[in-house]
Formats: sequence, C-alpha cells, structure tokens
Amino acid sequence: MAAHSLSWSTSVPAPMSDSERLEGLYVEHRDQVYRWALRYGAGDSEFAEDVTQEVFMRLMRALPRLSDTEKLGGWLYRVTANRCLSRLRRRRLTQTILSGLGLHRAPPCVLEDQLAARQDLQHVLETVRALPAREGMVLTMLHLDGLSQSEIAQTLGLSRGYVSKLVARGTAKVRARGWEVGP
Amino acid sequence: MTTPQPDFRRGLEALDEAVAQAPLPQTLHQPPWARPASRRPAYFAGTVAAVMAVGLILIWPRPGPVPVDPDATQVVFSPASCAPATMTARLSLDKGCAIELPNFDLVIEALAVAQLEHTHRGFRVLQGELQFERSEALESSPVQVWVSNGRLEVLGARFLVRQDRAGQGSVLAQQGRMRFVAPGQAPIVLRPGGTHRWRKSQPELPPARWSKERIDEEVAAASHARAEGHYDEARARLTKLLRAPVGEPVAEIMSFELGGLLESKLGDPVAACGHWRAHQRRFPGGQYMKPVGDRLNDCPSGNSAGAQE
Repeated sequence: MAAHSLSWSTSVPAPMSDSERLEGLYVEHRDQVYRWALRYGAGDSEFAEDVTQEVFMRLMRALPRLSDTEKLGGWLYRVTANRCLSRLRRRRLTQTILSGLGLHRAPPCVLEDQLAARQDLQHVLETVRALPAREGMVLTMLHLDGLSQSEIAQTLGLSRGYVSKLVARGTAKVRARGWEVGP
Repeated sequence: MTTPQPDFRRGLEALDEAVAQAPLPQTLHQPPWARPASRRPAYFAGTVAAVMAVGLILIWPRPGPVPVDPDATQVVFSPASCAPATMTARLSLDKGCAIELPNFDLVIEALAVAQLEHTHRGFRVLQGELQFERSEALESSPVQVWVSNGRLEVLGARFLVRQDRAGQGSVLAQQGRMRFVAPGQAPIVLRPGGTHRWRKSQPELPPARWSKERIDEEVAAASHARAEGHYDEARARLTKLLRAPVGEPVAEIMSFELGGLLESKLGDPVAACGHWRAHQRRFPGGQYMKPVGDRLNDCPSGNSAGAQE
C-alpha cells in the first residue's frame, strides 16, 4: 500500500462566520477593486466609489454560491469590469442628453490638482473619455491589463469578433487624436 | 524635423500610475453593508434628478396596484426626441429610438417601429422589431421579455425580437444566455446564433392535397418557368409555394429565388424591397441573412410593409 504523507493540524480553528469572512475579503480586496474602477472610469472617483460598493454588495449576495474563494480575484475582476462597462454606457447616454441641453459637466477626477501642471495626463484623459464606453474599456483592458482580445471577450461576455472590431474602431479614434498606438 | 507622436500605451500607464496614488476614499473604509446609509442612496441619482428636472427621464407608471420598485422603472430615451409627450405603460418607439432601463441593465432599441409594454413581470413586446441588450453577464436575476406565445428569460444577452400583430414572431440570440419558455412546453435554451419562431395559433395548413410529390412538381415547374423566361409564371408558382407547407429550409430557398426574380428579371424594385423585408421577417438569422441584408441596404427606407407573399 502506498504511503501517504499527511499533516494534520492538532488544533482546528473555529470556522469563520460568513460576515467575518466577508469583512476579511472586503479589507483584502477593496483597494484593488477601487483601483480597477478608477482605471476604467478614467480617474472618476465618484464612479469608482460607486462601483466598489456595488461589487462588494454583489459579493455579499454571491458568496454562498462561490465555491472557491481562492479564485475570488478573477471573479472580482470580471464583476468590476462588467459593472464599469455598464455604468460607463449609462453615463455616456445621459451625458449625450445633458450635452445636448448644455448641462453637461466633466466627471470629477482624482487628478484635478495635477492636471493643470501635466499636459500629458490631460491629453490622455481627454482621449480616453472621448471614446465610447466599450471602446475605452477594451483598449484599457488590452493595453493596461495586458489581456488578449479573447480574454476580453470572455470577461465582458462579448464575441471575439466584436471585441476585435471595438479595438480597431477605438484605435482609429485614438490615432486620430495624434497618438501612436503600437500593436 | 517632425515631433514624434506620443505613445498611447505609455500615456495610459502614466495616467494609471498617477490615478493609483489617490488614497482610498473615507467612505470605503467601511464595507457598504456596515454603513448606516449610502452616501448616494441611488446610483446616478444626481444625474437622474438633473435629467428629470428637464423632463427627459420619466417614471414609468405602475400598472395597477402591483408593487413595482420605482427605481426599476426609470427610462432614458435616446435620442431625447423619442420621448413621448405622455408616458404610459405602453410605449411606441420609432425606428432608431432606444430606451435605457438602468435598473434592469437593459437597453432596448427599435430596429423598426415597435410597441412594447412594461408589466410588473418584465416587458411585453406587442409589435415590431426590437434589439435587447443587457450588459450584465454575471450574478443577476433574469429579465423576462414576454411575446405572444411565451416568454424569454434572459441573463446577460443581446438578442433580437420580432413580433407581429397576428401573433407570429421570432427571437435571434446574438450573445449570452437565454431560454424561451412557452406554456406546456419544455424550455428551449438559445445559444448565440440560435433562432426560435412562434405562432400564436395553429398554423393555417393548406389542404392535404399538398403532397410531397405535388410540392416537388411545383418546385420543378417554377424552376422550369424561370429557366424558360416565363418570369410571371415563375413568380406566381413561387408565391404559391411559399404558402404551402414546404418546410422552412425549402421555403427560404424559394423566397430567396422569388426576391431575385422580382429584382433582376421582373425589374420591380419596389416589390423586391418589400419581398426582402418580408423574407427577413420570416427567416431571421437564415442562410441568406447577409445577401438579403445587403439588398435591403440598397432599398429606400420607409414604412412599406412589403409584399406579403
């Protein structure tokens, strides 16, 4: 009979309650989720705050069904990206209406103080914010998160061909604003 | 000497780096469930309030005494000119008009003039051609879209619904997960590219004399008439065949043939365009979807109902 090496803990810690577990997960992941949301929201702090709250409220509801919290990072990333995309699209629509009425105001940015001094940041911020929601998202995921187009498609629940089209359209718009875009 | 263009990826990285320096807001130090009340009780409330102030976001009236979450009934019209003067539970949308229902994560766009109704259970498509798009692809309750002969239960999905007044219709699943549920029938799961058609009542079957042999003869006769240059006869035979129980794949081929005949041999662009529209309605997502779509692009847009073959 083959020998198995087993190591048993002599004292088993008391199981954590769901609320303790959730609390722990919140503390562990909130910064990351907030950063992702800031990234996709092009520095809009209110947007990122709302998304972060929403993502963790979803986690609270979904936790009993999540069998493997080891893979929670991937789950949080997907949920954050989808929440961001959904909100960006919604925001885009209302902005269009408000712009038409001359009521539009630029979303707040955590970089307000730096923008005046840094033209480069201002330029890239304007470029990203001018892109349609989906195009901005996929370009950010492609260039900053380093995801392949297939991975982006899987994360956002879009077809691979559509993502490819979004990348092409977004890239063309970025180039039209005077940027060099590598492969 | 020309100035080199700035690199977009580096620009993004610089922006991301600067943004990452921002401290976590005070409100996020506690988890949302541990806070007495949300700083922004309803997301986008500010924007919604502003839009409401100018009358562009309307609260969809609740149908009867059924309790409906008022937040779930916010509707944003795009373009704003699509918004009706008076909002009711039944809504007409012109071609190209879209509505967004933020709390459902749902955008509905009319690809042709359409009517739909908001009920406490979801939405009912009464007539027209509507593209539904729901970005939420993860944990969520399904949105229900009712049609004349059942309902669609939708998680994350993009899909196209066509429904006519007579109770016939179809759904073409484009992305995501959905299923069609009809009373007394097993649910039909639709995957991207999948189509399901329905009829309200039993189809009106032609008399039993339409045997398989007779259909074969008619097909051969139509083909012969066309080859001989008797285009009017071919048209009449194909039209008759399209009313026969020839099976959808055969009907689709016949229909495509008839469209081509009207267009290129009979030189009747109005009838041809009408026919292509009818073809697209009857065979959504069919094998000729692309060539028919290309032909329709060349057709003048209008409310022509099309030749009902």
